[in-house]
Amino acid sequence: MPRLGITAGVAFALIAAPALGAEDAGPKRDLALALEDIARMQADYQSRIETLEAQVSQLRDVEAGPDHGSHSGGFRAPRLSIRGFAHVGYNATESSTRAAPIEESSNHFDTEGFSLILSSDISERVSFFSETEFDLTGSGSTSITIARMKLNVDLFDGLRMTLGKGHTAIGYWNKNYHHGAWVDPTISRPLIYNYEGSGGVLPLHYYGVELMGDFSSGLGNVSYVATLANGNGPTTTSTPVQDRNDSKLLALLMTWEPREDAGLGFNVVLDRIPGDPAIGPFRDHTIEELIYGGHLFYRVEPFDFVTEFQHITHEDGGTGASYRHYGAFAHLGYTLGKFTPYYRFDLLGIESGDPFFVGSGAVLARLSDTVQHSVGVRWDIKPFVAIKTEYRYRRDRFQRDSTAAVQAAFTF
Amino acid sequence: MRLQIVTLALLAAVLSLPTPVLAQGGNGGSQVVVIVNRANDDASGMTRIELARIYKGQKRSWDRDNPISLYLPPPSSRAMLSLAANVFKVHDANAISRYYIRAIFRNIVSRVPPVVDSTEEAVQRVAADRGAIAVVTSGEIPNPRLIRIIEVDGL
Repeated sequence: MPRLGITAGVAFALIAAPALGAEDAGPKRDLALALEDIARMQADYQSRIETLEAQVSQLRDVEAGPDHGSHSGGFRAPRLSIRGFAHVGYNATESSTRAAPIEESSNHFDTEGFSLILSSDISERVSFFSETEFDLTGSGSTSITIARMKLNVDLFDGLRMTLGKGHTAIGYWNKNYHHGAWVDPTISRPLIYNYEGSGGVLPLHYYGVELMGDFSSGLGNVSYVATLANGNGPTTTSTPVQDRNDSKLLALLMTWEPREDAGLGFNVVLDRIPGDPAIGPFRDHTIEELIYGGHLFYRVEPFDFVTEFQHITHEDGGTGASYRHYGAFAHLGYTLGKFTPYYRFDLLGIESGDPFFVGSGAVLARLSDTVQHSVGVRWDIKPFVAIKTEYRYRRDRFQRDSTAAVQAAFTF
Repeated sequence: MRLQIVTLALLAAVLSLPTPVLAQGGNGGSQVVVIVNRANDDASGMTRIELARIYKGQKRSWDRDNPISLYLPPPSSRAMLSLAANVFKVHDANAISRYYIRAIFRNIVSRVPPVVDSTEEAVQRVAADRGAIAVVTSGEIPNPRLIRIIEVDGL
């Protein structure tokens, strides 16, 4: 903009000079000098304005404090962020067996408590993350569980190392959905991904170190997660805070996304489950565990499609017997404005007699081939509040369950 | 004659004063652009996919010594609408907030990026932070020489 004024002034001078003519050389020279002075003043004003603006910006940063992320090399304190997730709901279930059409029915209001996500940038490359659950138990007491706790270190662009407790690199659903119901697209988790304390068959939590990263090419984005962690305990509900044997759990999850929000991948988990004679003579020996699976997803609005399968092999170190199990699900949702109706099919195939499941309590010991159909609607009534309704029909070898559930899930 | 000369000289001086109405962005137009610090040489040639990786927290640093600082545009601004539609593939700013809440939950990012009140504030913050990046409307940039402007196809 100053150039416009200078140009106008010069143009004027060129136009005016002949008008002034040789008969008036003094004023002509005065005009030229005046124009030069004006040009210098403009440049000086512009420079001063830029300097003042930079100073104002620095003052604003000082006033706002270190939270505004200036990387000027000055003092910075960790920046803690707290987010919460909670849900309340109502469930009604009718169970029946072949012997009795309706053996058991129950209905109750349900709130499991809430979870807090604490995250903090400790430095430019180090951050902290934790998910702590405050649960209301059936007996009316409160329990506190650290579901996840990680120290993240960004080694360099595209590679992050995390240390602590997290969700094992098994499949797409387990790495994306944890204990916050508002994030979940459905009320219930896929059967194959039930938590260990709810009859789950997979080691969904780890204590150890993870390396994760991704790289992009013309063929899309490839992401990976590699885990080295304490091995499982002797039962599915044994928390591997301490490793019971010297072998470690190894897990690898890789996903290829040829386009954003659509892709496929695979996972592998290896572990050696320790024996525990205290459980029974059938658990005297170690069990070799191999888990492998694949996932496929297409989550481009309005479609939300995810399908996965997992295969589990347990090889008894004492008898040499192998037990093979599998689980799969297919989830399909379709977004219509604020509503997302969905359907999910779940399948479990369980080979009976697996000593690991038999020794892990009555729920796992009784686990059998299971089919479940779930249909529901998620209504994002507000940006951070979702109402979900779901009907589930589950059938296994022993009984059939019909469950109707309503849930209000929110984040705060 | 002297009076006319002085009048014309004053007119030239008035025309040279910076006026927001006539201020032009570095691109000479009014489009949504990305701005980074002038010392940032790593952002050149940025594509929409790379911009998405940055704003979704998947790319967290320019290089070993320069972590990325994100700034979001004002919620109702044209830049925010473009960011929502072309980078996050959502309908509005609320959906971007929801993305960041889920990203915090999944341990992808630690916090929701700060939101600037104006393009002027975005320029000042980017000018003061070597790792900063913001999305603004080019016609609103008051001092384009303070920052580096990057045109991203599809934004």
